[in-house]
Amino acid sequence: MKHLKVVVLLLFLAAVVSPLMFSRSVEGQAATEAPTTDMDARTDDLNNGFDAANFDANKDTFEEREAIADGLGPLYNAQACVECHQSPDTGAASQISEFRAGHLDAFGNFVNAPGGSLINDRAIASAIQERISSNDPIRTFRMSLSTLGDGFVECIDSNVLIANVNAQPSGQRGSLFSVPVLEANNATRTGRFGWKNQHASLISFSADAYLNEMGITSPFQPTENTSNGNSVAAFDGVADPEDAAAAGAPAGVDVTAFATFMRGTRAPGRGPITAQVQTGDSLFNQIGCNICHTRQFTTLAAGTSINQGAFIVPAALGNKIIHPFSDFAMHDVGTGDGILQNGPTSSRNQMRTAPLWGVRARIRLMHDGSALTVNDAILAHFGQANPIINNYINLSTANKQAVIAFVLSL
Amino acid sequence: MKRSLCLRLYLGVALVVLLAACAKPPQTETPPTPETPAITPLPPAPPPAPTSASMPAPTPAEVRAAIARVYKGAVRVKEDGAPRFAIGDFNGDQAQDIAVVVEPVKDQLEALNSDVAPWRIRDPLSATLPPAVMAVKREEPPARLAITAGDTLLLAIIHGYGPQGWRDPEARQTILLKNAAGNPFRAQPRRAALAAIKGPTPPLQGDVIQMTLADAAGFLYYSGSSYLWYDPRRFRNEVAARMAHAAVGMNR
Repeated sequence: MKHLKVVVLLLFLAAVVSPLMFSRSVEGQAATEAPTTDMDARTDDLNNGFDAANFDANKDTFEEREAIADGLGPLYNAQACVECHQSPDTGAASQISEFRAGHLDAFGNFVNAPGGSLINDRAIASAIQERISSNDPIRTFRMSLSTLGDGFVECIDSNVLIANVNAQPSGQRGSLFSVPVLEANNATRTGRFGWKNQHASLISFSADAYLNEMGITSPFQPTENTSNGNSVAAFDGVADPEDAAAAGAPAGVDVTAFATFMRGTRAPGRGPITAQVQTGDSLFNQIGCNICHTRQFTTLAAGTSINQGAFIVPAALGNKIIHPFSDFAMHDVGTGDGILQNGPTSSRNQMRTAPLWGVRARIRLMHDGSALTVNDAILAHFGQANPIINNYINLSTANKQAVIAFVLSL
Repeated sequence: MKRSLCLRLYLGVALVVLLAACAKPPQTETPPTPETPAITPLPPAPPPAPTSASMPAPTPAEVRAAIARVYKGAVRVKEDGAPRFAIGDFNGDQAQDIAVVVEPVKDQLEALNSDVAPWRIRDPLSATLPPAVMAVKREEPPARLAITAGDTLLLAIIHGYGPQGWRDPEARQTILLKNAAGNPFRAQPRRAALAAIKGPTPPLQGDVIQMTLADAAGFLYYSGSSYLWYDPRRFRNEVAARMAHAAVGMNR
């Protein structure tokens, strides 16, 4: 009888301890592939599981068309996030570009056009339409970027990005720098979003875009833009911040919804993989494209604190393998647009390596949309990319076509 | 009695196991692990040294060799006298570039216009190609510029790389321009070009190539992705500011 009691006691203890053992084994398990979308708007497959209960509501906010009463403008480029981030699915890219300008002073320093390098294309009144001056000859278009899968990118350890760049050959090595995280009192983190790597968090990116693309202020971006440096207060009847903070949304209700939507999106998935695509897949590495268009990253473990403590990696985004085909670093490949944003002076003629995942949904390539074919886009690379492009040029016609087929499968 | 006790005990244990298995794992009290900066980025290698100002003037043989190296027989240097060429830093990267008047080799038109040709074909006089994007159906991308049998003269610009500039065997980035082999034909330093402009200034990244095209004296300049034509009579530097959609090749 005594022996039986001991057995029962041991069993009881085992039963109590087993859930703890189980949960620890989950945390310690190997990374898994991130869920992907088929890049087809007819399929309702965008959510990666993060905040699934609110995903549709957040998507609706992302698609919502703002009006003057909501704070739209006075200067703006679009009335909704989805106007620029739409094809093929909400959150992806589009052919819409923004326009930036500035000039160099007598010492060679970049100076923004009056009121900032962004020249808004629209205004709520013609009297305040922004224009470009011949004093600002440095000009560029910037194509809209896809935001699909950006939640995973946000959850890449900065140290991993830096280690990846440090492992690149010095001639092709990218540059990374830290930028302010607005929701963390401007504490800095390695930038990874935007053509100039000007943001490190999706809250910061959302607040920036809400102000600069739609003219709507929020707690972390509370000041309206000007029209070529002139105040537009007389045209603005909505008190700032126009997107007010709320419980659980200190960045603003809409800004938080945008960031949560992006965090909730799946990564772009691959298109059909043919024999030609597989050949191109191998050649992509052989000629060195993968040096900067990095194939794979694994996100931080769930429970890790990122964005300087402002965000905890959730289970849906943690320990996931993604294939962005970008090192999220800045490079000088001869296409720099001359515009300086958050980075050091050296970043003026650098651009972030464009993530190639989902590129098959685009026709206009490169930061300014100036290349209409993959071949043209490849040939536009120079500078740091010159040896790799020469490797491409040396390929046979069939192998070049295979590389192009591979890129168009991403 | 013993068997009944055993049964009760087994049932009790089973219940405990079942409840424990269904129980929510206890919330961790451990604070989240922070992402801690631990690695310093290494700097990239400095860009190649600029081309020396004391480089000797190109010889006709060097010019022909450069065109043959990059174009593999698809075009050749126009051979009615000395080659017509201009040297300068047209793309502003401090490496010497060369612009050469060439003619297409007639039986090489297919290679010249190949979808995977190692050169980009542009027409600086066609300022609005491709057409505005909203008029383009996704299934019908804008027609690619092509070299035709009627294109008797072309301008081949080879971008230089490093100290040897266009002479470097690794200098293979090239743009083939239609309608851009005008006369006279000479390079002008960026600074001199800017000083000579009266009125709106185009965004010059480097030196320019002066010539007369379409009865106008102007120059070709690099825009970052193509070569554009500056006609002082027509140039307005405000066109791009109000474009909602990119129009490749616009004067900007």
